Amino acid sequence: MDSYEKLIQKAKNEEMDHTDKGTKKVKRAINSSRWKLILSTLMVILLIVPTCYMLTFGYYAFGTKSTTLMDVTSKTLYITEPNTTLEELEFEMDFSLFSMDLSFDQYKQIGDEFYPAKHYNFHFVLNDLVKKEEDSKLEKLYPGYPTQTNQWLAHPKQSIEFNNAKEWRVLEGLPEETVVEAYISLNNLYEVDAVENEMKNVDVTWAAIYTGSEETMLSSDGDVISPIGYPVQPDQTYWSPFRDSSSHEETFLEMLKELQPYESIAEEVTIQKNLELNERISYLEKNGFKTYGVVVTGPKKEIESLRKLSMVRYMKVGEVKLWNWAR
Amino acid sequence: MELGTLKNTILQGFGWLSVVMGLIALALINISLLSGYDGLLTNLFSSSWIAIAVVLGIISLFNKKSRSLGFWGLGLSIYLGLFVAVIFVLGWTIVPFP
Repeated sequence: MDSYEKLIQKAKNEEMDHTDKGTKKVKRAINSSRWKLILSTLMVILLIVPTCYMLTFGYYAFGTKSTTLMDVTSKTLYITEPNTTLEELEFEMDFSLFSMDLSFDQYKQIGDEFYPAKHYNFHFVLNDLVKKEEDSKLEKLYPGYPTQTNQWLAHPKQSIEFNNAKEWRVLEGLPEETVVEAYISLNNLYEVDAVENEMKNVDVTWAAIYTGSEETMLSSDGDVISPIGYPVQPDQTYWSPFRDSSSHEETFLEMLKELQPYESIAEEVTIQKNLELNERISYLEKNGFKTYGVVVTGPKKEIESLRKLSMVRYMKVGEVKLWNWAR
Repeated sequence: MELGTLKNTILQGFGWLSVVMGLIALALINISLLSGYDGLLTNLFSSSWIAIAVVLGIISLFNKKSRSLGFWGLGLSIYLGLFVAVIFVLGWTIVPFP
C-alpha cells in the first residue's frame, strides 16, 4: 500500500469514527430525554396524594377546624343526649384524603359510677358528616326525636306514650341492691335548683330546659323541635365544657351560641332533630331557664320515694345496674 | 476517557441519583399515606435519605450539563421538606391531644 492509499484509508477511518460518535451522542440524548419524560410523569403522579394530604391538613387547620368539628360534636351530644358525658382526651382523630374520622366513647352515670354508653364513629368529608356509626352498650335507648315520638321527658302540656303506672311497677319489682337511672317529667316548670333541693337523696344528672315551644314541640315556623338541656352535676372532667363552670345555665347558653353557626352540622350529629337554636337562644335570654323534666340516678329505693313528690308527673326507668352507691 | 468527560458523567450520575432518591421517597410517602402505615414515613424522615438527595443535587448543580437534574432533585427534596413541615406543624394544630 503506497502512502496515498494509506492516507485515504486513514481519512475513511476517521470519518467512520466521527459518525459512530455522532450516533452515540444522539442515542444518549434520546435515552436521557426518554428517562426524563418517564420520571417527570412518575413525579407528577406521585405528587398528587401528598399534595392532597397537605391541602386536607390545611383545610382542617385553617378552614373548618378539626377542633371545631370535635367541639360541635361533643357539645351537641351534651345538650341533646340526657345524662351523658364524654372523655375528650380519648377522642381519636384520623385524617385521610379530604376527610376526617372522629371516634370516641360516651359515658352515662348510673348510680355512683360512670359506665360506657355508646361508641361513636363519625366520618366527615371536609365539614360534611357523611357516615355515622353508633355502637350502643345500653339496654334502653333514649328515643330519637321526632323519628321516634315516644318521649321520655314530656312538658306538662304534652302527653306520653309509655305506660307510666307500669314503669313504677317495674321500678318496684327491682331488687333493693340496684341503682337506677330514671327520666322524670315534672308537672310544672321549675328552677333546676328547686328540683335538686326536692330530690336530695338522688343525683339529678341532666335537666331538660323549657325554650318556649315544648308544649307543642313545634317551632314558630312549624318545624318539629327536640328536647334540649344540660348536665346539672358538677363535672370535673378536664375537657368538659362544664368544668369549673360557676353557672351551668350560662355555660349552656354559651354552648348554644357557639353551636349556632354550625347548626346544620350539629343536626347531622344528633338523632334529635331540629335544634332551632336562634329562636331558643332568644327565648332563654329573655325568660331564663326553667326545667320540665330531669334525669336522676340513685338507689332504687330513693327513686321510688320520688313518687310521693307533688312535682313528679311521669317516670320512665332507664338503665339499671347492681349496687355501687357508696355514700 | 478525558477528565472533563469523566467529571460530566459523574455529576450527571449524581443528578440522576438525586432525582431517583427523591422519587423513591415520594413513592414511600404515597404508600404510607394510602396504606395508613406511619412506620415507613417515620423511618424515611429519621434516616439521612433526603439529606443525601439534597447533597447529591447540590453537587450536580456545579456542572452546566447536570444542572437541570440538580435543580430537579433539589426541588423534589424541598417539596419533601415542605411536606414534612406541613404535616408535622399542621398535624400538631389539628390534633389537639398529646
